[in-house]
Amino acid sequence: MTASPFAAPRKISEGFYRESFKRFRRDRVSMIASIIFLFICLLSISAPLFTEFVLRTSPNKQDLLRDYEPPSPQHWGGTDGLGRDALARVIHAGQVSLGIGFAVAGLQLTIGVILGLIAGFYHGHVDDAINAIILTRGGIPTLYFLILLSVTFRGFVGTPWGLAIIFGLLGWTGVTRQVRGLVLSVKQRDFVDAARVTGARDARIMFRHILPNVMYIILIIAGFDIIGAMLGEAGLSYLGLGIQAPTASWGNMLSGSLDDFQKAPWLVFLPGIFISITVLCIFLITDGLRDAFDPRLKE
Amino acid sequence: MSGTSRYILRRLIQNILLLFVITVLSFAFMRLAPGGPESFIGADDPKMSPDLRSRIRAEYGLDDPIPVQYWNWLSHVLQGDFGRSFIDQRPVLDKIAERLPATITLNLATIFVGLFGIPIGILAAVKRGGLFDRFMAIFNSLGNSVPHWWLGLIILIFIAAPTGLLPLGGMYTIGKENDIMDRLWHLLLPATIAALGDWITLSRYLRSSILEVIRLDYIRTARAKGMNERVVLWRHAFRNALIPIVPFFVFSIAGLISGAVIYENTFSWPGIGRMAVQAAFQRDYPVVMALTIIGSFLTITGLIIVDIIYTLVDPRVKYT
Amino acid sequence: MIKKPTICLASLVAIVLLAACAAPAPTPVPPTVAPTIVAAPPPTPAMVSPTQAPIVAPTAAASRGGELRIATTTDAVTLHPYKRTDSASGGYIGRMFTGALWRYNPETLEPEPFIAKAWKVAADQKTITFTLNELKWSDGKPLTAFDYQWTFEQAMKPENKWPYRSDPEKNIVTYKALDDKTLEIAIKEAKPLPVLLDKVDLITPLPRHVWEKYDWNDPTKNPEIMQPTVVSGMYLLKEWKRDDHATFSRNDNYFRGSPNIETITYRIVPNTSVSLQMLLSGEVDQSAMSDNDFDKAKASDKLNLYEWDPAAASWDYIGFNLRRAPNNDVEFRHAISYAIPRDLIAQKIYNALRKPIYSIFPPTSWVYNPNVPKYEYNIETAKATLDKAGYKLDANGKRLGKDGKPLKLKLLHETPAPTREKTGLVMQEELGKLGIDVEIVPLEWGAFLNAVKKEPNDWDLDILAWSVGIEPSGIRDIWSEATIPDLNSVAYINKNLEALWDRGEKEFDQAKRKVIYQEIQQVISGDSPYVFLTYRSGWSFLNKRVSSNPVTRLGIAYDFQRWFITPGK
Repeated sequence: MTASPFAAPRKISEGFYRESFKRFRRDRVSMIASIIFLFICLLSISAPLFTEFVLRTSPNKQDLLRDYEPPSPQHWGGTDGLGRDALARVIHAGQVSLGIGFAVAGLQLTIGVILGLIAGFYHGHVDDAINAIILTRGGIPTLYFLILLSVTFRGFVGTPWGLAIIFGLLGWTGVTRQVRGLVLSVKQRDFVDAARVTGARDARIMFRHILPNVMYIILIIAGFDIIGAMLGEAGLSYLGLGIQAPTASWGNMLSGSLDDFQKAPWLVFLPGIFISITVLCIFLITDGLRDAFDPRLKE
Repeated sequence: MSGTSRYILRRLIQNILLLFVITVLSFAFMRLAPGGPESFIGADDPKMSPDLRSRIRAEYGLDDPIPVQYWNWLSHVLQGDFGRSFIDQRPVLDKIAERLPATITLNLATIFVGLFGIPIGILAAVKRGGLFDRFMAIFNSLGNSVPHWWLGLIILIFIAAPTGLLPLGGMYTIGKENDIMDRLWHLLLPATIAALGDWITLSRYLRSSILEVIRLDYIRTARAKGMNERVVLWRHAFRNALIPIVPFFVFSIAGLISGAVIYENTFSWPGIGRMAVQAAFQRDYPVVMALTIIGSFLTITGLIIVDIIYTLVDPRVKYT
Repeated sequence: MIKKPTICLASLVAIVLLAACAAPAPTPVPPTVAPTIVAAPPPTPAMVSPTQAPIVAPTAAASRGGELRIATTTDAVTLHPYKRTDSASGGYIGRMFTGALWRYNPETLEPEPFIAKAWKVAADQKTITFTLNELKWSDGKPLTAFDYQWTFEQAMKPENKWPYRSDPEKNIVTYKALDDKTLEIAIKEAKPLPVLLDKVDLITPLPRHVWEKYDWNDPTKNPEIMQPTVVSGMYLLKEWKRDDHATFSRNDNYFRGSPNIETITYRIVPNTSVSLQMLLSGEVDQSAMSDNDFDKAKASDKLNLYEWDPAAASWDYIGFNLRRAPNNDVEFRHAISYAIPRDLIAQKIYNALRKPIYSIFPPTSWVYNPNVPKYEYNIETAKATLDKAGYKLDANGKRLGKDGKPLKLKLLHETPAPTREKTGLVMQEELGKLGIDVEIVPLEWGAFLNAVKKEPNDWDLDILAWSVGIEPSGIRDIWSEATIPDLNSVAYINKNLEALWDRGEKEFDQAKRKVIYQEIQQVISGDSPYVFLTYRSGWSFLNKRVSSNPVTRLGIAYDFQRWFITPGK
């Protein structure tokens, strides 16, 4: 329904991806963003090691006698209301938040791409059926539905996996629509016909011939999915419906810290900065990818 | 019957079915939720006597089989009766109606502010690579990477509160309900913050689709023919680039009555979103269901309108 | 963070089951004998000896007029006194309706006549006759004992579904007007005066001459439910825009005299970070507030702080599910009690605005027993107690149950409720030191109550709070076998204790009553069905332009008609 923001895909030549990445690497902004993003990812992955050996603490270690301490050489990010090291917690929370982001993107793309390929490729009844699901989903007001789910299934939606699954199940329809549209236009191309003439099976045509031609667009969609999931989680947390403490996520640290606004402003800004920088980086990377893959946009 | 009207008819039938499915889904969902209907208005209140509890259950028909409950509910809804709120026994439609002005005001203002994305996108595309384009690129990236409710709160606490330049929330100064300037002053910050997302999306989107269109053959031809650059841009580029924005507006209008919960909370705005969240927390099913059904109805109507507009505007769209 | 509203200290006679959270704005609440359950968070004040706050001498010339502006997180739901279950509605209703036949004197805390001019107790100690003051409704019509009787009859009709009907149904035998000025109420069993008063004062009369025309239940057929026009209290509702604001204007016919303050405006501000800014900037005079903002407000030169040690407190606790092992072992419960750092919880989680409590009555209660076992925080004692009771450590440092399996406790609490989340985490940390794993399961209020009360009762610990009135017999029901699984959600059964409660309700000698209630505290503390945590004391910030009453152990909200606003400040 919504027009694709992407140019119609062309037949991708052998060196297309190599060329594109070369262009991407030349883009200074994108490279810096990538490095920072990679750094944040690595930091999150190695959070247990980092907190143990660099910060010399652990994210759940309480020290009620040292609550709300401002940043110091001992606690680089200060401490929270239970005397826990704020930086250690933010870094651990990164695992959760980024994990949700990637999981949501993975889930949405898996469902979305497969269904989109099928719908676009077969058209007819399959397409109608998938369309009906998409329409049903689209007909339900997302926000109310999400709130309702979060309230009634608190125990499930409050866990990182639960939240990722809900986001994934609610969000794949957009991906499907995009992919379906792309497949419809790619399908008409000569190279698909050629493959069919050689007797290739449907699955092979879909995954070998069509998918690579829309892959770069999917990569960009993935970027937006991650952003959407991270900001969505933060928003739900603000309503008290995000990831449930004691599991820390950037979203619930951000909203939880609002109580500490007057006492410990560093607790407010620390998760805020981490979310913003991460989102900004992903944003710049997807932008860079788009320019690299579709250099016509950058005259 | 022409192809187009047959198509539209088919879509209408499809959508009626769709609405039906949504009612079944939302009803089933409500009844299956853990805690169940029991927990509304203190039916789980420890001090409530058991006989009272069972009376309440009977009154709300909670003891009937679920399909019967569904049918009773649906037949009322079809007559425009969404029932009474569990919480205060008022008719649900009254409750929704009383919130509408606040929500529509904020949403209209949000759409209006969002519209500024259009000239910005156009300007950025026309002067691509220029100072303005670059500035907007940075602004957009930064603006998109902060949770907007958080930004709103920070602005309230660190800018609005100390300077007193902007109100700390609410729709108007109490006692000045009819003062237009006062209302606009109260709208400024909530609408701007709420529109930030639309604003950025629109301007980025418009910028890239204009750049896309500009490259198309007929524009080149038009240019080659020596047409005035401005005429080329107006006649061809913008008009074509603007078409994809149609759905944005249709859905914004369909979304007019759905509240922006988060902004309503931050800015103490008495809209529908806050009521929806409260209703969800209190398991006030009639309210939540009514909002879901009305929301679905509007969204689906929006989808149909988009379809029709496309059929009319873009002759390339064909229907089978 | 959405804050739920505030509980009022003024409801002195109630047992209130409290959900977790924000801060206090003292508002008068209609006195109700009926215990109230509030799915809404209470605040968290300090224990200070009565008043160190600036007291405005009541002799200062009170000026009339002005507007009191209050920011609150949640709006009222209904203005029907016999439908409301939430505290926000209770606050509005309390401004408009008054029915209390008697009250506690704010200074002496002794019962004194209020709407009634006097009372007379019959020799059987079951019947009490009140003589009413000269009273008028806001429309000038007389308010009589027949209004009381009519309202009582309506409220007690089963089809009218008064949520708190079951208590009066059990206790009240007669409730009738003998004439315009005389109201006779009788209860089933003879009780000492404080208990008797407690049981009979339950009706806030509604204006029969207005309400009779309308339906009792249906707000579409009875405009008075959402927009009362004839009231008995200090204020009339002028305007109510839901979730935005409500404005009240004074009732010149109020029986204690027309209030000084002309208008009260409630503004609904869901976010307490925002309403704090309004309070600091002087945009509102009073506001709900998080404990953590206390210091900021205290530092402001625009605000006066009022603190009091409340005669009745609400306290929070960790409950043991006594239906299963190892919770059903009293030694085990003692060990856990030793492992809870109440002082630190009060200091750190509640910003020092709470004080530790060791049994069911706070030190401010007249029956307080200072000699109950306190189980002061001591991890070593906790370990030793566990060892002695036969809970051994395994090779991995995990504590084993009597069945030889490692102990794992499931802790339920309400969410969103930051203070309870933190309390849960502290529990987890401290029990971890004993080698006991704690699994924390946060649930939304409705689901939480369900999980705690319904089969299969799959939980070990929960965090909850009770609000307790001045009259100690008021919380008897929490400890009764008959109220399992509702009020007595931990399933605590002690027949001797129940006999003590019964004796306390029947003993006519105050001194002997005190001894009985002290014994009750001793027994409960010994049985430790709960780990008692902290109780809240009273505090409130008001803009300096507002002059309240002198702080007493009832706070500042009593006799609100005497509050005044100094113009031009």
